[in-house]
Amino acid sequence: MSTSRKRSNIVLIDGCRTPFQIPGTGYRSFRSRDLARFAIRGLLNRTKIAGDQIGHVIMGTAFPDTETGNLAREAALGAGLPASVPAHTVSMSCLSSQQAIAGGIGQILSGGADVVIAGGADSFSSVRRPEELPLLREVSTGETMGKWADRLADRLGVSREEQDAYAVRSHQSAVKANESRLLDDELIPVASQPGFEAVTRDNGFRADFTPESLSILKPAFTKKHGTVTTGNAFFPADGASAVLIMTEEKAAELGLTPRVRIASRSWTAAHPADDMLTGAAHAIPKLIEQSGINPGDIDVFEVHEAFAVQIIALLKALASSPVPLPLRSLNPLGGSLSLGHPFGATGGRLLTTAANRLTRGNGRYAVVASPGGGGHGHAMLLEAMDAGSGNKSARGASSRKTTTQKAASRKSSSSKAAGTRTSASKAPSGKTEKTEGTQRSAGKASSGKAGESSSGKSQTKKTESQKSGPKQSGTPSSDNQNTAS
Amino acid sequence: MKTLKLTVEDHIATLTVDQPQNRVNTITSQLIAEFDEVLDNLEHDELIRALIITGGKQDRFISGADIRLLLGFRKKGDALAFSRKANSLLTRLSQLPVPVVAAIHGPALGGGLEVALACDYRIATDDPTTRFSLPEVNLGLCPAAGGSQRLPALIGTSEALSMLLTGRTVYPREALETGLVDELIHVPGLMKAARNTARMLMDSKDEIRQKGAVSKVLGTMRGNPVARRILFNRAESDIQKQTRGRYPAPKAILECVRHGLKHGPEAGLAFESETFDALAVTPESRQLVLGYFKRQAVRKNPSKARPQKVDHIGVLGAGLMGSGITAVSAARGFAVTLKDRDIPSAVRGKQAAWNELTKRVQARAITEFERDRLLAGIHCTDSYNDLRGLPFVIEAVFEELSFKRRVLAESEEVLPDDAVFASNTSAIPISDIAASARRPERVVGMHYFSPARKMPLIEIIRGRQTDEKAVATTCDIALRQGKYVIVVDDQPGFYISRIVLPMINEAMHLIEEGADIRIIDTAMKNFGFPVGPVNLTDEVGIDVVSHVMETMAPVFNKRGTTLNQSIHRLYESGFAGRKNRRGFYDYREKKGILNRQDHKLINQEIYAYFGESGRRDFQLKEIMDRITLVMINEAAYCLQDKVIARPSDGDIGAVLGMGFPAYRGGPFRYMDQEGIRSVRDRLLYRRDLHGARFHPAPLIEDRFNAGKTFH
Repeated sequence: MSTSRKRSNIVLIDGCRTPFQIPGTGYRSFRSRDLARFAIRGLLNRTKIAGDQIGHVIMGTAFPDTETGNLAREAALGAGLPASVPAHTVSMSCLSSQQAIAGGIGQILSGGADVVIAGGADSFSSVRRPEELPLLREVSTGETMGKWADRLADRLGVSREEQDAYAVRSHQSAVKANESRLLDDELIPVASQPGFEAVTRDNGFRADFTPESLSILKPAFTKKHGTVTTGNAFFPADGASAVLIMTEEKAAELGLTPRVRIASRSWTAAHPADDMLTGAAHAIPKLIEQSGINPGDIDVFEVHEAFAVQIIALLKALASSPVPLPLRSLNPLGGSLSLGHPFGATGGRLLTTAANRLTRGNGRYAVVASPGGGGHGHAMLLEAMDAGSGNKSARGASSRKTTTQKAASRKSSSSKAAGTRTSASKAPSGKTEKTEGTQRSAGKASSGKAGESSSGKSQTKKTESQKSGPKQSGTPSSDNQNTAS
Repeated sequence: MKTLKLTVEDHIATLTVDQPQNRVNTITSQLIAEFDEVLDNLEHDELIRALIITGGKQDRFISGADIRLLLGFRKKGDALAFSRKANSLLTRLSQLPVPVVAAIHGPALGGGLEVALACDYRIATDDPTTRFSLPEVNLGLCPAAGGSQRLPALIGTSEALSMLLTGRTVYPREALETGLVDELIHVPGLMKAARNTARMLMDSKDEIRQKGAVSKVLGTMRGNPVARRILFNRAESDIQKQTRGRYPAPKAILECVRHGLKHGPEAGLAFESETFDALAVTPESRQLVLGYFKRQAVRKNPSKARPQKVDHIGVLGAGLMGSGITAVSAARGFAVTLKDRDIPSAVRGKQAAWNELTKRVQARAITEFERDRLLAGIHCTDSYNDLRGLPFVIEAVFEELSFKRRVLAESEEVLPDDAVFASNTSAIPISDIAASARRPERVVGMHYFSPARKMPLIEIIRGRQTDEKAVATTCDIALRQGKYVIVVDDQPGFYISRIVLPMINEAMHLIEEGADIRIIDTAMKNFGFPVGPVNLTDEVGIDVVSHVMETMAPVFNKRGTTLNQSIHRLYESGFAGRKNRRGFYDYREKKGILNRQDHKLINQEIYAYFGESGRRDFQLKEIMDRITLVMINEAAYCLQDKVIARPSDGDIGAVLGMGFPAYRGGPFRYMDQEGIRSVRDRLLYRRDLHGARFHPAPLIEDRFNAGKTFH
């Protein structure tokens, strides 16, 4: 397939974030550039990659700090990266760090850089006049995000109780994730200044939230009749995230072990007045369609929780689509409702959390999705480097098939290394055998969409059917973090 | 002319100082002679309408007098001629009929700053290499070329005294604020700005006069008689407190300033020259200048091996010492992985670095951004895994052999084979720590002194198996941390603890004999130590001293003396010194009582451990003599036992590591100066009175018999 269009696989080496803090608490003396500096430095510390290996830094921020200008540049220099590494800042409300990551992938694929640090940061503590921020009100519609949430609830008939129940679930999940220290993999400690208290945990989730305690809260946005409250909406937080991405080849050259491939991405946009907050519901099906994988192979979902109602709407929307979203796969370590939402940092968190869950649980695919202000939506498909079998080439071959083949003609596909490709194409039958031996080969039904989104070049519905492993039905998910009811 | 270059363009003359053979520009007799000649020309050249003075080196203005020049002042009168000449030249410079602009990039120190002060206008770069100071006081001298007169006139008496009496460094932004310079400019624009200014000044001479008038008015206002008297009285009492009359220079500088204010600039300059002459031949100044000269040698790596390249170090333990080491390392640009038991402890250790760097921000030596960048290099962790791959690790955990061994073993698990493991210990033999190490040749001792941020010395200990490359690498890192190093042999207590311990021991004997604690400390402060031995014991910790005594007891037992046991008794009874507020001094907080360093109360409880509580009178002289003698005698033992390789290491180590008075040069210079015979006689006298601990070291006997000195 398409050697002429050969694209390198983009892999995530590692990601990290600062703990998220309620504004005015742990990070009250920091600006967003400081938080971004911590995240970048933390990433360098963890990966031990030499600064001069970095080709470019891109950071997202939803509310650019007028005292900072190019946040990414200041943070990168402050983190000790060589002055010779270019850095720029992007902004796309809740999708700012997703956009930074996408930009990084674009840089790599277009030859601008081999290795990119991407991420983002926002600080609400350092905002002098929060009321001036477009935090909740968008120019194009004149409406606040919360109003849209109420409107969505009424449109889909989502009750207050449903929303509060989901909010409680989010908080409970965060509490459990903290107890079992499952977020430690993504957190880097921060020293408050000048007190030098260690900030090692998110501080917004609440063990004491119950449906009853949430039920007494007043509607926050639509007086009297609304159902969206401060209890079932995200809360703004201070924080930053950073991820290290490069090509698979570059990782091998540097001796770094990637966590996941970033196999595919989708972007959507609709008029904000019609489709605010439903971006993920559009982006996920589009992603699945364009990547051609079997939706049943997805073990991990990380979706930004702007409002409980937005998640419930997403679940409802997907329930009637070919992409089922089992609740147990969704945000089992908490989400923006409980961990907080530093707009520019959340995308980096979602990606890192999803990658870590996939790695820990030996899952195969993960989907990261988020709606964004302005009616945007974004989704990302992650693919495990080795889905838990000992047999790389087999897994690689099958996964190549699933994602690449149809996606070969699309830019975001993950094409395999040459060797793998050869073996796969030469011995398709051998591949089948191997896959059977793997733990998690699983896709049961062929999606049937395999060829649709491709440009029709080389797609034969490949071997989806061949992959039916013995495994899938037995083990619901190997992501042992699934605590959802 | 070899060092000065005069070029003229558009009636503006530019005088460039550039000594071809030197890395920096210093004031030498040649420079002075050439400057004389240049002035002759300028005074008679009517075509020249302005003058610019600048440094020709990449980033150097003029760094003050050549130290060898100072060493040349042997007798009274030598320095007088020099200073008078300098003063007359700079007076001529300041009286040139044309405007003179100093264009300063890089350090303007001592005489270099004095040249700039004699100009009409000063433009400096805003570069971090540009800085100003009059450091003469640190050499026991006063300025020799008008600094004590022109500085107060320019920036006011109060600001001037703060520079003159401490020798402190002023960075560009502060210099602009105080008026020390008139303008700051980026580096590439310096000469253009100087030429523009020169042109502007030569076209309107009034402006200079106006400028001069302004600074003079300011000077007078700040120095109105009453305010001035208060200022001088305060300065005088501060000096007295700090020097106890031991260092004549600060007081002399104060007199120079006062004389100028009272009798006018001309008399002031003459007075300054005479004062300089008098100070230059004081033994204090000789020792300080010599010490400075010698210390430059210790700025170089004493090891011949090639150091490994290290930019990232690990520090184990984020306590007082670990965090101090982290601070000095981060401030010098090292990345540091700081490990402690848990993250909050490690993070707290980072605070020391923040404090240190914030002070530098306040001094405007670095920006906040720079501070944050350096601080970002400190990675706090609770896991050995984060040490993986590090080339150099400093251990600063609790002073206990088994603990240190365990930390070493755990580190070896993750460190690369060629990593150096440096143990910070004040007394535990490195070879013992390394006894069970997998790679004992990579284990070295690195003895920091507390507080690590301030103390300028690091003792580097070569263990029995330590290889030379490890020593070289450790020295290199210590030097890059801005410290001086001495390499010592791996014997109990190494050098510094070894010579401090007998002092504390003697103090204990004295207390037992009925001496008052405060009198003991006062005596030693009078000798010139920054703190007395009893106070030091409290600061270091009675527990630590007890520990060190135990480790070192065999050294003394072998010589037939036993150490005083009272420290152990105190330790066993729960006294740990300042850290647990139970020490020789009273650390309990009391309302309304100033418990300052100077007025600390004695913990009367303590005397119960020293026999009776009645105190008897002791001569300060006896205390000083006894404590000093055991210390210098031990230094001689150290040289004899090859703990130190040479007397100069012993001198530098004692001055920088334990606060031996710098103006006395160090134990060996002190013995030379007092006379070996006198030292020996005093030791023998004390031996007969107090016992074997005063028995002169065989090396002293040798020198005495051979009629030789140590240096």
